[in-house]
Amino acid sequence: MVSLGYCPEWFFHQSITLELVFALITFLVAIFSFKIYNLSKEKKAIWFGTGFLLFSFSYFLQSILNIGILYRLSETVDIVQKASNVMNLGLTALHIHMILMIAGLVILTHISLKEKSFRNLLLLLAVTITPIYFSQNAVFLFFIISSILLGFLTLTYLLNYRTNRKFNTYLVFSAFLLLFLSNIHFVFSFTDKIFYVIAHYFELFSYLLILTNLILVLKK
Amino acid sequence: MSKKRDRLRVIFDILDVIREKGETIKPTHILYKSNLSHQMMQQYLNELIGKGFLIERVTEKGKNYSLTEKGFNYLKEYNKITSFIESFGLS
Repeated sequence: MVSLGYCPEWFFHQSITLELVFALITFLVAIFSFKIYNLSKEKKAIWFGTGFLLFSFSYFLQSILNIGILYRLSETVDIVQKASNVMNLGLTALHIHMILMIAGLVILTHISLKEKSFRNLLLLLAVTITPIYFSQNAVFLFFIISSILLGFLTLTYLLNYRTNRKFNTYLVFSAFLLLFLSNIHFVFSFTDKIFYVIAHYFELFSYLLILTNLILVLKK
Repeated sequence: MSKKRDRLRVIFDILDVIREKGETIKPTHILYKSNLSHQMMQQYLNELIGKGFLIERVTEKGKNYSLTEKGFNYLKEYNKITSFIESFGLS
């Protein structure tokens, strides 16, 4: 299982389904963001869409490879060879998932900083991704870096809500707060598997709020 | 027009003035209707031409402007654009 924490066995299939749902919702946000860019030519929209597209690829890859791993485990082949193949596939998928996720978060953070310099974006990407790639404890480092980025984004959306007190800004702030809380729960999943389940449901509620915002925008 | 307008609203107002006027419009008319300084208006017009929302024509009588299909689409989808950009803090 390409798991960032400890996934309970009874939750394997549900987590794959949830990750496919997250991939679909984030893909819809990305596509709509590209449409908004096409209509308005606002560059931030294309960057925002790229960030969500990376999230979508990240979740999609995670769920597809988990399906592949489950399928491979069910095959009747040599147990040692099977374990080795699954381990290699899982580790590669885990690294790609983390890198895509961090890249998406860095792009959103870069936009929220009102930064226009592409060099600064590259620097942020290098500073966040390189340690994860080379770290002995990549997953823990991933959670630390993604928590910092999500905490910063939550604060940004809180400020956006305070200056623009509308229902849609509140939805987006709540969604990012839930994503931040979800990330914190993933950390605790190393001590108790139930936190892995709770984290997934926080994530689900978060993406449902983002989807609700998207539907409200489409109705305008 | 309100005193404090954000960039997307200013763009909407300029495009709307051109749409209301019909086929083409002179810069003096845009200046009068859009409530901007000459310098600001020129900056916006250049941006809108660059984005493909407007076409500038230079005639013997001077410059005039008309909307492109992209300009009409911007006016039509303005509420969706602002709602999306506002909710995700992209302004």
